[in-house]
Amino acid sequence: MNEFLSFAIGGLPFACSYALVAVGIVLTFRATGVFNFGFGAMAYGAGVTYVELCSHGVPSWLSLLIVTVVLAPVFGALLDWGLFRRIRTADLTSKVVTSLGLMVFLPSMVQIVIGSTTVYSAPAPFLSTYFTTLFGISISGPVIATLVTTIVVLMVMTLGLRSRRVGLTLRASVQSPRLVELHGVDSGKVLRNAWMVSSSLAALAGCLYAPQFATQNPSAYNVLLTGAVAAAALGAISSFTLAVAGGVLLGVLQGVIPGYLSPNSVWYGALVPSIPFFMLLIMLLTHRGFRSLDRSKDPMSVVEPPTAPPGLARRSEILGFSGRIVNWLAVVGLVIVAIIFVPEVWVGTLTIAASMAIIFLSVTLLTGLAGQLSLAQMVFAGMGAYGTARLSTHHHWSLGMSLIAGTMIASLGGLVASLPALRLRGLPLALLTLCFALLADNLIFPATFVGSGSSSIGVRRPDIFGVDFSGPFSRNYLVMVVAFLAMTTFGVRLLIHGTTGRMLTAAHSSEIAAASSGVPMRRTITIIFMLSAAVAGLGGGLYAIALGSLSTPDFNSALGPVLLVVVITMGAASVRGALIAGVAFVALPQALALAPSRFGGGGQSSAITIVVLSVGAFTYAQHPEGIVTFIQGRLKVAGLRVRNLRGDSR
Amino acid sequence: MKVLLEVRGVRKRFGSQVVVDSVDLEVSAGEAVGLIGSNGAGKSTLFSIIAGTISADDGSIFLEGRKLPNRADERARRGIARTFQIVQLFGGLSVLDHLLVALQAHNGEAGVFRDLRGNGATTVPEMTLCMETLELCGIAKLAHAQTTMLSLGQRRTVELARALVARPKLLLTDEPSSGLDESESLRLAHILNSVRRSTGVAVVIVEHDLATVAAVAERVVALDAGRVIANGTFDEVIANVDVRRSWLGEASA
Repeated sequence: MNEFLSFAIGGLPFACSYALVAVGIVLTFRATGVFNFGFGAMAYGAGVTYVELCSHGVPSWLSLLIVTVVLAPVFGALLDWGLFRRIRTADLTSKVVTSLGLMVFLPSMVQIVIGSTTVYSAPAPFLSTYFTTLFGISISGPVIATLVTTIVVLMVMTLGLRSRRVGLTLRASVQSPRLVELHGVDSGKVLRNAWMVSSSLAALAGCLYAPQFATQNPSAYNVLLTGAVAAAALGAISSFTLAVAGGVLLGVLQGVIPGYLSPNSVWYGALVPSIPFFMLLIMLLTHRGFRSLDRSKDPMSVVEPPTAPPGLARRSEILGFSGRIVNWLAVVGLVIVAIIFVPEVWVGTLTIAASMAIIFLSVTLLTGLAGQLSLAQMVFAGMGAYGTARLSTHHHWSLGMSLIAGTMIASLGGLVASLPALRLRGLPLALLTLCFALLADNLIFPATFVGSGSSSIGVRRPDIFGVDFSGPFSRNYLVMVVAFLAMTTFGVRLLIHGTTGRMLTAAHSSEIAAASSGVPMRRTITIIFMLSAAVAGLGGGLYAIALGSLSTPDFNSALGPVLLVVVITMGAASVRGALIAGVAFVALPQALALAPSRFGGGGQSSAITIVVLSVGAFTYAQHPEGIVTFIQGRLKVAGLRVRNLRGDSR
Repeated sequence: MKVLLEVRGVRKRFGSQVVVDSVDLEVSAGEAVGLIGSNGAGKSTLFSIIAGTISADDGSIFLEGRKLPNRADERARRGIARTFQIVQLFGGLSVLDHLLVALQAHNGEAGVFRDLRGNGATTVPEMTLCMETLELCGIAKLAHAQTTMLSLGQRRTVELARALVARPKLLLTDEPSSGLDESESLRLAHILNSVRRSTGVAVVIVEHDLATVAAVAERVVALDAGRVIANGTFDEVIANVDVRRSWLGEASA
C-alpha cells in the first residue's frame, strides 16, 4: 500500500498540470466554443519563460507570479483581441483550425525567440528544499506546493463560476454571446476574461511542469496537451469537476503503472503514453455529449448564420479554359526544366520536396475534400516508410513490391482510423487522431518488428528494369518520384472535380440531407480515409527511399498537425495548395539556411519555415480557400480591372 | 390499388414518454396521404422513422412488400425521398448540383471509383433528367443559381426537385408550407399535384396548414398522442369527433 501511495504521489505533479490545462480547455471551450489545442504550446512558452527568469536570478516564486499573473493574462487578452474575437460566430471547424494554428505556430515562435540555446530546468516555485514524511511516505516540498497551489486555484475558480455575477453571465454568454448583448451584458468582456483566466491556468501548469524535466522541449508539452485533452474528455469537455478528476486519474496512473513494471519490459515505454489515447477513445465512443458538439446552440445563429464551410471554395473557377491550359503547360514545363537543369546539390532536396508534396496531397484528400480533420497523417506516412524500408532491407523484397506493400499497410491503417470516423466528425475526430499519433510514436514505430528501436534503419535503393536509382543525387529517382506525384495529383483532381467532390461538399453542408438523398456516407468516408492513408504511405515510402535511412524523428507525431496547418495555409481545396506546400516546406529551410543570419538564416530556419507556413490557419475563418487561391483570385480581379481601364480609355 | 408502403406496429419512446404507439399505416402506389395532428402527436417522429433518420423501438416497415433497410441513405436508394421542415440545402452548390448529387447517389453511380476511371463528368442523360425535373417544378431558370440567393419558397421548391429527381416511389414532405404565405403554399401544393400526376409518385405530407392538406391529400390520417385516431377523406377526418376534440380544441359536442 505504501509503495502504491509513493508511486501515486510521484504522479501528482503531472496530475496537477493535466488538471489545470484540462480546466483551461473546458473553460475556453464552454465560453468561446474554441477547443484550444494551443494550450500545450502556451504552457511550453510559460515554462521556458519561467526557467529563463529563474536562471537570471529572479526568485522562483516571483518568476511564477510574473508568468502566471502578468504575462499569461496579457497574452490571453491578446489572443482574444487579435484572433478569437474575430471568429466568434465561425463554425467549429474554423475554430479548431485556428487553434491548431496556434499549436503549430507557438512552439516554433518560442524557439525563434530563445534562439538555439538549450533551456535547462529550474527549481520548483515553492518549498524546493523542504522535505517531510507523512504516514511513513516521504513527500517532497515541491509536490506539496504544487498540490496546494492547484487546489487553491481551482477552488477560487469554482467559487467564481458559481457566483451570479461572473458565473451566470459566463454561462449565458456561452449559449449566445449575441443574445446576451441584447440584454445589456458586455459579452466581449466576459469572453476576454475567460481567455485571460484559461491562459493563466495553462501558464501555471507550464511552470509547475517545467521542473519535472531536465531540459525544456515542446514534445514533453505535447504529452501534457494530450493528457489534458483526455482529462477534459472525461466530462465531455463540459464538466470542470470531471476534467479535474480525469487529470488526477491520468497523473496517478502515470506514476503508478511504471512503478510496477520493470524498465526493460516491452510495456514500460508503451503503456503510459497509451493511457490518454484509450481514455479518450472510450469517452468519444461512449459519451453522447460528443456527438452534439458540432451543433450550434446559439439561438441567434439563424439571424447571423455562421460562416460557410470550407467546401465552398471548391467550385470557384478562377481560370478560364485557355488559362488552365497555359497553367498546366507552365507547370509541366517547369517540372521538366527543373528535372533536367537543376544543380546536382538540389536534386536530393527536390526529391524530398516531391515526396513531401505527395504526403501533403493526402491532407488535401482528407481535409480539403472530405472535410475530416486528421492529425495522424504523419503516422500513415510513417507506416508506408517503415513498411517500405523494412521489407526492402530486411526481407529483400524488390523496391517496387515493398513500396506497394508499404502503401497497402498505410491504407489498412487508414481503414482502422476510419472506424471511429463513421461516428465522429470534426473536433472529436481531431482529438482522437492526435492521441492516436502520439500512441503510434511510442508504441508502433519504436517497436523492434517495425523500426529498430532508437537507431536508424537503412533503406536500400535498388534498380528497377536496369535503371539505376541509387545514390542521393539520382536524377532517375527524382523522375520516378515526380511521376508518382503527377499521378497522385491527377487522381486527387479527378475526385475533387468529379462526383465525389460534389457529393462530399453536399454532405459537409448538410449530412442529414445528403443521407436522405442517398449519399452513402459511411462507404465514401471509409474509402477516402483508406485512399488518403495510402497516398500518405506512398509519399512516406518514397521519402524514406530518398532519405536512404530511417529513424524515429523522421515521422514524429508532432509533424501531423504541422502538415494539416501548412496545407490549410496554402489551400486545402485544390491540389495546387499541397504542391506548393511540399516545395515550400522543404525548400524554404534550405534557402533560409543559406541566407545570412540577419535574415533568419542559420539554426532557426526550420522554426521560421513553420511560423511562415502556419499563419494561414489564423485567417482560415475569413479565407478558407488558402493563400494560393486567394492570391490567384486577387490577380484575376486586378487583371479584369486593368482590362476595364483599357476598355474605358479606348 | 397496390400497397406501396406498409407500416406495422411501429413504436417509439423517448425516455418514459411513448411518442409513437403501435401505429399501422398503409400507403398505396401513387396515393397522397396527409398526416395531421397537434404538436407532439408524433407525426414528425413517425415521419422520421419512415425516412430512416430515427430508428423505431418496435415494429417494421415494408416498401412493396420488402422490409426496408435501417439507414436513411439505403432507404433513399430504395425509392424513399424526403424534404425537411427546416430547409436543408447544400451550401456552395448550385441548384443543378443539388439535383446531380441526389440523382447520382440514388443510382449508385457516384463515387470514388467512377471518378478515378475518369468518368466524373456529368453525362447527357443525367443532365436531361435534372433539367426535366427542374422544368416540372417550374424552376428551370434557377438551374445555375446559388441557393443562398433564393427565397424560402424557391428553396423549398429546390428541395422538392432534389427529392424528385431520382423518380422515387414515395415522397415524404415535412410541413412544406411552414414559413410560407398563403399564395406560396398554394403554389407549392399545385407543384406537388402536378408532379404527382406526371410521375405517379406517392406522397405523405405532414402539415399544419389545413388548406394545403386539403389541396394535396386524397386521404388524411390523424394522430393523437402517438396513436391513429382517424383515417379517411379530408372531410370525414375533419368532421371526426375525436379529431375535433383533440386537435381543434373543441369541447365534446
